[in-house]
Amino acid sequence: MTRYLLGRLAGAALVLAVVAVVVFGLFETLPGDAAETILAQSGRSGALPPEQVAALREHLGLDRGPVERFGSWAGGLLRGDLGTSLLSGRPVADVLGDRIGNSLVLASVTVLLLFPLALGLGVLAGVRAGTRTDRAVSTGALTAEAVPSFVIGVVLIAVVALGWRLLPAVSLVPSGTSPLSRPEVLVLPVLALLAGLVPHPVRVIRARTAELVAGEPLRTAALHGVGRTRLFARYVAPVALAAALPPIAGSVAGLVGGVAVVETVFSYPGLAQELVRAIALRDFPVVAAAAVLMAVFGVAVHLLADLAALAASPLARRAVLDGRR
Amino acid sequence: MRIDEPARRTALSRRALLLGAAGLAGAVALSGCGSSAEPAAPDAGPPRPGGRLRVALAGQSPSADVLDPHVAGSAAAGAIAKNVWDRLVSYENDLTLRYRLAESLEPNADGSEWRITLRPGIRFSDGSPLTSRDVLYSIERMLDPAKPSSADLSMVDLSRTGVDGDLAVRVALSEPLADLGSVLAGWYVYVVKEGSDTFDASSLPVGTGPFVLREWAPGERALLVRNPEYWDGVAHLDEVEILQIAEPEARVNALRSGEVDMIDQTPALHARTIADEGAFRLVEPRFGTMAALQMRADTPPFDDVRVRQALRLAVDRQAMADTVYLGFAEVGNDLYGLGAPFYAGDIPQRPHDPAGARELLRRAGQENLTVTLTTADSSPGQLDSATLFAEQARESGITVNLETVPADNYAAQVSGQRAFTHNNWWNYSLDYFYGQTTVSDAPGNAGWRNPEWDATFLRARGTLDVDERAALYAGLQQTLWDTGGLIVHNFVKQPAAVAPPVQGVPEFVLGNDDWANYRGVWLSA
Repeated sequence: MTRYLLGRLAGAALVLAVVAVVVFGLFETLPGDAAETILAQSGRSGALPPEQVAALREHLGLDRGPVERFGSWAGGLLRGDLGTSLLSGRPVADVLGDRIGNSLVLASVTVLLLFPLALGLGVLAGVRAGTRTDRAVSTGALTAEAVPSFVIGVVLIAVVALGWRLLPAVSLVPSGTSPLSRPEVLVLPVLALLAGLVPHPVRVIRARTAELVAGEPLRTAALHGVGRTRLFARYVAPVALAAALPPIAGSVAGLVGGVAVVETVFSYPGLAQELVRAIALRDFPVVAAAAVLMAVFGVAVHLLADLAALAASPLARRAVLDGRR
Repeated sequence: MRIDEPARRTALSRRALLLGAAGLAGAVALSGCGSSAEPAAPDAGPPRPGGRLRVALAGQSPSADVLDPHVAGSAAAGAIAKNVWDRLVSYENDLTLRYRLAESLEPNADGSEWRITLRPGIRFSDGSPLTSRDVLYSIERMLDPAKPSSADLSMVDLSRTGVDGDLAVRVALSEPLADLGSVLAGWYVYVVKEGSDTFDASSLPVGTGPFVLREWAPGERALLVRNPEYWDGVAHLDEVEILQIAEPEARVNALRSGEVDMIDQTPALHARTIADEGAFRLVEPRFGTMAALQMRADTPPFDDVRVRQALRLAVDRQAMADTVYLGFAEVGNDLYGLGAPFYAGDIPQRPHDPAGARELLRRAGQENLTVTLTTADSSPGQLDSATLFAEQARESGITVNLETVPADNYAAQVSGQRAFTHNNWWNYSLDYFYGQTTVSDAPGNAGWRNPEWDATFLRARGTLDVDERAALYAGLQQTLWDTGGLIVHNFVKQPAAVAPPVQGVPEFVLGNDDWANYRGVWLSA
């Protein structure tokens, strides 16, 4: 088990290194840099005074070669130093600190609701496969999956916030406070996220449950007089849970992208929104720090989900731990 | 100041879908409040003191936001700077000077040295008096190469500049300038207290403005409270909360759902809906900001003046104003600076004339002309204006292919540098615009070079006699109207929108003294 874990951790580190290099490489291919962004701030069009651009580049250290810049940034990262923003000169860690907290709150609340919802709806539909309940859940899931979450977000804003005036349309969170102190700003973003994330696991769980319920072993057990409740608790639920973990983990990792979209639609002050804006401003230290942090999140979620799946399924455990040559 | 800098329009290209949502939102709001939609007439007063105004403006991201008024370029930062500090002189809505901290600006005989005299009795919010040393310190700070100031004061010769008593500063220039005021009224040229050098949430530096900084959270919000020491009539409001919301659509949503009382830079579509509904009031700018197409005069086919003239005739400006800007625009006449002093308003309006355009192209041997317009979604309505122009040009036998590029850095990297692009300069004096874009060696020169014109411009800039200067500027503009490379099709207005209780919001021009001026704003019951 330890060897398996170490292997996975080494793999995770490798993934992060690759992410860092790829982000840097992609960033290099973008036209323009922070010096131009700063100088283009006074409402002008057309070429900028070249001597001013050159002076500012030197001031920001952008005149060095790409290898040197990457080296100094990566070196700082390894020492736990995220660097300073090229545009404001403030430490990236300070700037992103609040934002990460806000994004984590949004993601955690979503995940906490995602588990019971996906599992409940999936099992319900699977156990009653072919009934009206099943068709309602399956159609609903398919519809929600087919609509992008930004459309759902926008419709929620239009109807719930602007039409009925029940909840704020814009998720303003005063800095220094947690979104949890203004829970009303979380409702619509979480709903928009869930609408995008719940359907896939629901459909997987439903299929697995339905297959199980219709299968030989369960039919035999039922014929032998095993009660419905007992059948469900002993046979159906554990299998459904194990089947649920990978798609739910996929959904949770997919949160990174979903959160980015939802944060933008609701002006929610999170990490993803900050990343998107930093890219447009060519603020590399912020972009790189945010991208690496998101990658850490994605990798960690997958690792945790795999470990949980191993814990839930003896079969998988045996395959992983004994199955290696 | 910035209205539409590309960086702020996020790469996610969410505008189209959000516009769609806006339509939806508008429809919902319309159906939702049928009976309550009576027009919100302004309250005549008298002004009630007290209360907090919550206003949303476009801002910066938290990593990039700065408080330093000599550096901060975003709308929100500009609104903070204006209400906490003050300039020596500022622009009126017609771009003439409004004297603020300075009582007078007096040139010597040839405009190479100026004397700035301060208004007596002005105090900073900590009670200390404003003196000439604060002004000198601010000028030095803006010119210090080690400081990241964005102010354009490069013509000031610091070695011969100094204070003259407590209330006057002598400013020497490296070349004569007839209108130092239009430079001092620039976006960044604020007077800070001598020694103020750290501008952040922990230092909260003092200023001479109507409000005092109480809290500042970069990229998010600032809280200002009334300055009891203010020299120009103490403000009615107790507090102003300035919130930063990057997306114009989100600002509109914040206003509609009651999160804020006032928003800046309302997009045309929403402004139209708001005007029709009547639940909120619009405050329209007196003049709009230039929306133009730029042809590079040194690049074929635009190196032939007849081709440039033909394209200028091919655009239907009024149709553009009506369909793209929904009426929040005024048609342009291929000249920069509508509303600015010396703008040549008496040159006849160039018409939409497809037949004339065809004739010019025929004479230039360019029938069936095909050009490529490099466009981007970097400013509200810009893509739509490009699409409509391509449509309109067909009538003149011109095929316009659109090449869409990313919006980030469009202004700095594409505009004026490819053969055919958009050009959106905000409202400055003609001096500044020509010096930055039109003279042959200007950094933003777009291929149009004319030594004779350059010489006249230099003469005009140094001519102190106003009538003589006006005559020179008229001639300069006639030449540009005849042969230049700009197709200025519209001046676009971006109104502010306010909730019914908000009173006393002055008419403004984006970036000028009365824009984001909360000195006289008050809240009715």
